[in-house]
Amino acid sequence: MATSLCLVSGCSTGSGLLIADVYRTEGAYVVTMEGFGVTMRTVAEDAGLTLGYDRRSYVYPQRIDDPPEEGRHYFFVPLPKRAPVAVSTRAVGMDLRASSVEFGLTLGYRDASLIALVPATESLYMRLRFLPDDVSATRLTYCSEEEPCWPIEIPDDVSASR
Amino acid sequence: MLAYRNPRRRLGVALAVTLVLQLAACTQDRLYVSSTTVLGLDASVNTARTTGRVQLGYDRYFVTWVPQTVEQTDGGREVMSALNCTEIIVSGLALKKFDESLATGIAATNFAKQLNEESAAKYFDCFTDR
Repeated sequence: MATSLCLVSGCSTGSGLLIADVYRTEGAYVVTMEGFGVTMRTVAEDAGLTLGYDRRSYVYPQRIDDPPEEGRHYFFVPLPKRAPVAVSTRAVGMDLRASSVEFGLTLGYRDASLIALVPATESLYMRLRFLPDDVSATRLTYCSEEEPCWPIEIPDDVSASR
Repeated sequence: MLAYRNPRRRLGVALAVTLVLQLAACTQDRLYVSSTTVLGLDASVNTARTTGRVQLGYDRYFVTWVPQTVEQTDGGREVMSALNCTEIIVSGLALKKFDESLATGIAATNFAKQLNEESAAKYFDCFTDR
């Protein structure tokens, strides 16, 4: 059932133990998951399967339509539909990846981070400070041109060509 | 129908569907910075660069992927503009901190033109000591 839900909406689930914590930090929502056993992920930027132990963190801007529910989740955690701006992963065991960024297989240990994962067509300013071992200290400023936000003021220059 | 009576096959079907969906969703039009450290056997293919690697043992590598061109509203393609400062701290096998300042598109162009002014440079730490 959880697997079916996962395929419909982005999430992380598994047949082992999955513990997820959702933090609301300065400018960001951070979802951190620890999985033991088999963990499956359907988030496009981090899709795959892990057999063993893995710890993954996704960082989302605070201004999103479907923010994750703060607090602790077990076995299944629904994730926002939009792509995270950063993904941090640490896996021990077998880690199979089939994301939109990379396909791969690791047997052993793997620590990886994808930072500033933004669409090339967007005009934006982003500032992200992230400590994988202290995710509650995450600070994010994410200002797109269509959504100017205080205190960032993207310099205006009408003569600049697009 | 038999496949759905077997939990293992069900998981296999679910995984196969997921992989197909991901293959269909492959995009190369996103900018990213990545840091990877591996210890063991690792095989991977980067969808943006369509390059593969296989290795046994220890390795650490960093990648900054900036799409060469981006699609414009008029259907044409233009060189992508990006301005960024990246600070990464790695200790042992794990990444401990990253600090990223990034502007893309017209925002990057405008920030770049005004980096000599404190009001713009303060958003990019690596330019403030010039």
